[in-house]
Amino acid sequence: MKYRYSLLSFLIAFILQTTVMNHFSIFQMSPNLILCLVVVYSFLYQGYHGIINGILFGLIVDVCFAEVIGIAALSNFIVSLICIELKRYLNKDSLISVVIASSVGTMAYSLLYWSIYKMLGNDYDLMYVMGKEAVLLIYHILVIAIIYQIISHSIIKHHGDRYMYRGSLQEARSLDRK
Amino acid sequence: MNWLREHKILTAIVSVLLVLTMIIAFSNSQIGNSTYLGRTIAKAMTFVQEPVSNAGSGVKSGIGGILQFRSILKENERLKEQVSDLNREIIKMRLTEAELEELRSLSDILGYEDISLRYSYATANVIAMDGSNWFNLFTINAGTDDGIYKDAVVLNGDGLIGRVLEAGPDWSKVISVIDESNSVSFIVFRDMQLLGILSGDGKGSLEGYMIDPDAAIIEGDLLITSGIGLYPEGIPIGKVTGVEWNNDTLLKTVTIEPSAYFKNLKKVTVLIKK
Repeated sequence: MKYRYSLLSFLIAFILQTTVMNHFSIFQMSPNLILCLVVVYSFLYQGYHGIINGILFGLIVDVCFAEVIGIAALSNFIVSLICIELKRYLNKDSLISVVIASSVGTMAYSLLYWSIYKMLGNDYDLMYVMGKEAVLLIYHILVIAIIYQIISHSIIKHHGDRYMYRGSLQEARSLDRK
Repeated sequence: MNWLREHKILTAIVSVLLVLTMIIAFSNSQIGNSTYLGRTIAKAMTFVQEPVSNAGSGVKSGIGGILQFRSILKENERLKEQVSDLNREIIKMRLTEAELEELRSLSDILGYEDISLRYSYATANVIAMDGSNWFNLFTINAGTDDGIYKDAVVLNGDGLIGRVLEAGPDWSKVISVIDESNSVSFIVFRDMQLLGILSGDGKGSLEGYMIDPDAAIIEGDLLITSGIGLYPEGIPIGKVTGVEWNNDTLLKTVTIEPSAYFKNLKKVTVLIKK
């Protein structure tokens, strides 16, 4: 994956999230497409696409909409680190792993965002935030599962082969060295 | 230095964390005052977001129109009836026009200053919303070129929306009254002697308290701005949904349902002081 492609996908996600998705919200909720891409790029791809673009677009979202700049960027950064760490314990070829990663990512993002806001003196109710999480979680799992189905062919090289190593060439080489 | 070289990833993570924390701390002390870079990014994004938002709105209304064809036909019939009712109302109004002129001349004599004389207004389209699901911050396609300034009051046909957090040449960032940490002073429309203070409740709605603990406020009362502070008087805020006596603070607290629906805003009006 080249960085210019991931940058373009984040840009499209940002524009859709802030303009079109509000018109198609369900239960007054619309998915955070940037967070979905942070999870997807951090969990499924090699490199630092999720971290770099997550910070960059987190800052852009904050500049355009938030009172305080940097909260979304920091939250995206930490979610990206968590997803990269999850790769060690979960098999990324499985859809269940992707569901787990997206759930952990969504919950972590909301808790981080709420915690930072709380530290800055804003009194947003945790139960209100968590109440919204249930719908958002389902929404994000669906979005990430759809993205996974679309891109899985480029990530998993040999779908039918149960014994073939399914990681990237870089990963295989690093395992070989060990 | 050797330790840093050996632990490159850890060093990078800690550095990024530190930089972002510093950005948050700096930004928190300068709320509503973006840097030149921030303003440029916001302007560029507004340029892209406006046509996409218009297209999205068009697609939504198009799809909605197809899916809700029957209900639209019924609505059309209902609206036709309403039009004929309103026409009758207009005829009645014309009859009271002379009465209104008399009242206007009386208000001039008494020195009453009408809000419309103190404020002009700019209408704007909402071109982007924050998409965070918690907050209701949004961008509108009007800015300092249209006379909009920081803290200008924003409203729509339903009532009070909020205030301008930051304004660029052709865009403005608006914070809604439910996300507002600043308090808003209100009076009860039924009895304008009843004064209170409200703010966002942190749950996507509003809560407040009455200045006079014995104030006879009841459920269903309409609250309007009092004119004390930032917001001019007479703008509908919302309806009282609950009244409670708080034993800890010894105040009568009220929960309020805002008049405006913040999740689906399309057009807003910004009041500009003359």
